Amino acid sequence: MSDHIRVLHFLNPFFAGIGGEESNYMAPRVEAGARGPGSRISQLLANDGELVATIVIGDNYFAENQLQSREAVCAAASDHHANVLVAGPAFNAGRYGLACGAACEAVARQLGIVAVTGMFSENPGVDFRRRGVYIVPTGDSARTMGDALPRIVALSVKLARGESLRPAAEEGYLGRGIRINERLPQSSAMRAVDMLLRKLHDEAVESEIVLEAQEVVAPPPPLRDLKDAVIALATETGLIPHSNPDRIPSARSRVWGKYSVVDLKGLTSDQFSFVHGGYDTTKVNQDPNRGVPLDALRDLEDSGVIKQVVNEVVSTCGNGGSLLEMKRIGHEMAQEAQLQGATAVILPAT
Amino acid sequence: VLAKEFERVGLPTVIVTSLPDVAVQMGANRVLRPRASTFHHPFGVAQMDADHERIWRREAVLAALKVLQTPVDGPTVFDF
Repeated sequence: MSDHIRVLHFLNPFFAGIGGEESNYMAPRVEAGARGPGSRISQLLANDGELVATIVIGDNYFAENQLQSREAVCAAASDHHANVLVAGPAFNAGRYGLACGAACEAVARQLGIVAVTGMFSENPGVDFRRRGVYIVPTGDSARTMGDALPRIVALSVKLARGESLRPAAEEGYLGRGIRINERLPQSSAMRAVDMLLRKLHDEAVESEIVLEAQEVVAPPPPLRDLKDAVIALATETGLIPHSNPDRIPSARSRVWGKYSVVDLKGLTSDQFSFVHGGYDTTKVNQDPNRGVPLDALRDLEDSGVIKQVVNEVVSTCGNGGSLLEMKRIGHEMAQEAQLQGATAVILPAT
Repeated sequence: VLAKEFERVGLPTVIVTSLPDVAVQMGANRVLRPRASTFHHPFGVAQMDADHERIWRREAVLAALKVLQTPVDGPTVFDF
């Protein structure tokens, strides 16, 4: 933590005033002092510190030479004894936003110095906020530079001084998904009742827990004719053969398994059971078809209602799983189902 | 979350669960809630005798197949 702030500024050639589209492949270049929007940053820093150097890297060069680019930014920060990196802002420029995020992540991780960038909320680079990067939201174009820079500098100064931050929304940066405990005069029960009463009176209520907005996946068209349907069974109920060959755990699973049901008329309790710490598995262990209805599907296959049941059941345990892991597992399962020729999926879940 | 990944690659997917709110919140598009079953076994009604339960399960699977044949615009809960 330092009283005198030394800022390294990261820019692409366009914003540094070095070139246009043709400079996208420019290798890292470090210059003393400010360039482009850096001069305004110097002014805003005033007595708090100075902008000591500027590193310029082309967006495409950065994208294709991640490691070298990150190292170049870290080296420039070390060489100039910078204790803050300001990147961009990138507004809605996608490749520039990704470069700014990566530059910030690199110095924050490798050097432990403060790193702040700015970009539009829909810039793909905003994902770096989940990797610990401070991102100040800006408008979608450089027209909003004048508004963005004071906020970026103010946050940088605050962080460099080691001042404690208020919640992201109040402080003016994009939440990084970090929750910090704090002591409040009222217990959670009182706050909850208070919140309920306000809700009943149609007053504004703000949840203390921010739920992540979920990504929307457009539903694919429905099955046309059941007679042609090849149905895959996929599940998060923790279905396993007794030996649990994939060692699926009862919670926070990072693995999944595919289990052959070829020639089986149904799932039997002498072959299959369930591993899941989030529900009572007694009844499904007695009759696994209660969890994953292979017997009924075979019946419908035999009577020609559907064409076929996929002979591999894919399974994991969904209890307490991380969203990212489940997304990966789901993607891998989906590829497997496609490989097996499935045209639709039944997914029993608890 | 899993259902969305199947649908992302183009496979219509029905999630069968007693907790449809969670599924909808996560963005699953086709959700079937079998009223008679429980959280612990979406395709079972343990208090029925075995034959009746099997008949019920066949109906529940048919209901799931029907959901797979139904066009939806976004997260939708079907009851059985």
